[in-house]
Amino acid sequence: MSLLHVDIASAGYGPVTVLHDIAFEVKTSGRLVALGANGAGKTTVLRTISGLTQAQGSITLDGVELVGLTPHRIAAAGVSHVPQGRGTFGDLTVKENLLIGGNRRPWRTVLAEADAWMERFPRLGERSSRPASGLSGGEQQLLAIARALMAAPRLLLLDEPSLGLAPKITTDLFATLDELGRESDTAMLLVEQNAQVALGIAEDALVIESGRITVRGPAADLRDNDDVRRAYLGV
Amino acid sequence: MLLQQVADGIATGAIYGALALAIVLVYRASRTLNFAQGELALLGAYVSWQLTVWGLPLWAALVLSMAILAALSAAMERTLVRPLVKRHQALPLIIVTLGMMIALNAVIGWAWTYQTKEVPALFGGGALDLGEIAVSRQDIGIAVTVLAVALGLGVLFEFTRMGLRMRAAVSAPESAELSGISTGRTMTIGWAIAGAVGALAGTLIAPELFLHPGMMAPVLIYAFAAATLGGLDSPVGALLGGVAVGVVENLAGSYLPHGSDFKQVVALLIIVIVLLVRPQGMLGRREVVRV
Amino acid sequence: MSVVTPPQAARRADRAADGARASVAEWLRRPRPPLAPPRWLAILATALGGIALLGIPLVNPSYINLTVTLVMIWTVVGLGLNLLVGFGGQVSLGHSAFFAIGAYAVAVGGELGIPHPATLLVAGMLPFAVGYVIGLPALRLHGLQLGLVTLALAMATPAAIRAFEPLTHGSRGIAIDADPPSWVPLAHDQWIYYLALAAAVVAYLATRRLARGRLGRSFVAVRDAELVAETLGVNVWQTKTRLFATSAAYAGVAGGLYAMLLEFVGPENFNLALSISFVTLIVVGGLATVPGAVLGALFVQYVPTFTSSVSPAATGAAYGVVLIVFAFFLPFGLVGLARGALGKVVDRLPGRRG
Ligand SMILES: Nc1ncnc2c1ncn2[C@@H]1O[C@H](COP(=O)(O)OP(=O)(O)OP(=O)(O)O)[C@@H](O)[C@H]1O
Ligand SMILES: [Mg+2]
Repeated sequence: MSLLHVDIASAGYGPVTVLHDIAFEVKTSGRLVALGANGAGKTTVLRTISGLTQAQGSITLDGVELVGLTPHRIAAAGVSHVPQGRGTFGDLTVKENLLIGGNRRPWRTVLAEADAWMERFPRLGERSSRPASGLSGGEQQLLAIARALMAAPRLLLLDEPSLGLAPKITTDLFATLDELGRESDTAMLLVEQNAQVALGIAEDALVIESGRITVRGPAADLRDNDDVRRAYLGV
Repeated sequence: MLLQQVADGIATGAIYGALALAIVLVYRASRTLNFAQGELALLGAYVSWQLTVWGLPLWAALVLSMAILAALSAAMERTLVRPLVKRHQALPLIIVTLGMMIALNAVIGWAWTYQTKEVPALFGGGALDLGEIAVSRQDIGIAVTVLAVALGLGVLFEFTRMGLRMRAAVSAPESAELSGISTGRTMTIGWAIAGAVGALAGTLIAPELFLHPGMMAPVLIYAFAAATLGGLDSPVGALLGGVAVGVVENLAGSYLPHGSDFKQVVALLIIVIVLLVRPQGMLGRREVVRV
Repeated sequence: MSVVTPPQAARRADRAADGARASVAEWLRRPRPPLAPPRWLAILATALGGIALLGIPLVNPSYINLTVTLVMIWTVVGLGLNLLVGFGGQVSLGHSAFFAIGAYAVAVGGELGIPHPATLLVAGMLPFAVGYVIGLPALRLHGLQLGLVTLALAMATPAAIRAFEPLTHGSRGIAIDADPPSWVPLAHDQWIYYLALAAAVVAYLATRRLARGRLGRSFVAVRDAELVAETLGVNVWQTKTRLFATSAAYAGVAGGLYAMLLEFVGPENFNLALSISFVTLIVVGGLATVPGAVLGALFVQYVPTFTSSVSPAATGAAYGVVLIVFAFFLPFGLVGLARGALGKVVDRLPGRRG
């Protein structure tokens, strides 16, 4: 059973069409990674799903059509998107960032869950009442993911979480991500350039080039695919 | 004498601060200046006056007028401002709020004539003697009311879920949308609060300046100066800036040659100096120019 | 593998050609090139217009000449302001200040015994200098901030005039004797009319050259993409200051003519309402169009005479509503409308173009 069905003819920014004939699915509780070079259109795929860019076609989450909805309605429908770069609210405190993530859920639960997050990740807890802009890159990325999960989403969209992070921190982050995904049953659509780590935690994968899907298959198969190895794994 | 001037300046300054607060709320919501902010406040003063003429007690008239202006300001945001903000049209946006400023002023003149009206002071006449200086009850009432409203808004922004949503929408609009916050709605709420605060400022200052259609234009400039001084995106800065501008204006009026004329130039000087020396104001965030 | 879905995205060619269902609002908002009349029509229109403009003051009573002169004065202001706002993208709500400086230059110059057409030069140069000085810091400001500063400037102008009492005689104002020199066989109103006509024609032709030339293109480049313009070698800093100063000079010359026409200046002539009517002028005529200044000038001269007979509030209401409506639906003003309505017809006229 698939959670997300994407079937779009085109998407882009105003007169600029970036994506062409993109079709794929994400299984319930499944994990899909989208690989691609700079400018391939990975971010645009995620932005199109969460309603930030205009698209022709159909995107359904559990049968609910998302195309044409505003981003906040799509979020309410169960999609959480951690955008590329710093997805945190820099002037808000760490705790407020977590609370914002759950702003549509019952407040008591949200307060309790925020506390749980801060207990689990002491680096966040220690800075709970300081502005998020003061956190390190890795901490901010963790906070952004935690914030997104505070919404208890059906689907988590992650845009290059490894961007700008040291290799060690990236590995830790992905381990945490793997763990969190298992606990929450949230489906993930992960966009990455760092194919090594990304393929490690995904089941399925696809490659985007110039706005089209060129390769797709199980993550393990892609790891053995010569073209992919050459282009994205640096071997 | 000097102390007396400062005390007098604080009360007017509180009103400039309140109107500056309205300007800041709108700026935070839509990244624009509402040039009609003064005329909306003027309309608030006229509505209050009209309601008292119809027999309502002044405080009730004030509350009702704040509600009406909140609705009007929100409607203005939805119909005139939002479409242009969405299309990123900065110049048309300036032109539209300028148009609203003139049109509102004309409507007010047409509805209530250009004759001066007397508005009763909300806090009665008389003054309190505080040793060397005497402060009128109205002035004290104004300062306390503005402070109370500011604290109320502070609580709203810091401790409620809606306040948190509004701050998030200002901090990172796109991430806020992605977190399920309707930034359109937070914008409208920002404008509504601004409308109400403006109506309060207009009604409070009306007894002092006498209510007539030209009343708010100079006040608006002082409020802009206050908002610039405090930082266009800082509500606390707006209030402090208001008090500072009020005091400076009062001192300039009394101690400078051609004082009463020079007063009007004070606002211009404050705006120019702040923008050149510290464009983000006292408490504002430095804006990053996007490439 | 559920992920491996055949590319089932249908080749939907449902994107109809843009023009087919464009709404009226879109039609109104579309930018258009200037009308391109055949040469015979251009020459004919210029000749007829020229004869009419030259003949008007000879056959009309002085109050008609007065209003037509005012139209030409507003045209000069509008040309300059449109250079700044329309082509430069920098808003100014304070051009009444430069207009006032020009007017007072003529008035004070007259008091010092300088002959009038000469003071008119000062009326242009002084605001140019002031505009340059203001423009220096102003170029560090962007859109809203400049709007704010110039609004404060407009508000402070009457007070500043009163405060400079020794020079301006405060609220009493200054009376001006602007009779033509003895060798000119014209009445006062005719004399000022021809001066204003000359100024308007020169300003019009100069603006058209500017707008079409290299300088105009660099203005537009700075307006549309400052950083890009800079990398292309446009000196943004200089472009902006010059633009501001030039625009102020237009307003100053117009102010000087205004003072000579009324033969009196006082602080209350130069209030915020004047600045707002300047902005209305360029918005109604059409931002970033040269002929827009003429249509806008006609609007701000004749609409108030009509509306003030309705009610004292009607002028403000009309300006306000017009500003809002044009900002929404007619970004290129009456000129844009004329181009849309007449473009096809004019293009079909036979004759050589050039
Ligand atoms: N706002 C925009 N307006 C116009 N074109 C855009 C915009 N954003 C991105 N593009 C273009 O769309 C294409 C795809 O961009 P996208 O950001 O989706 O790539 P990406 O795969 O995420 O790249 P990266 O790895 O660098 O993040 C690029 O050619 C880019 O230039
Ligand atoms: Mg990207």
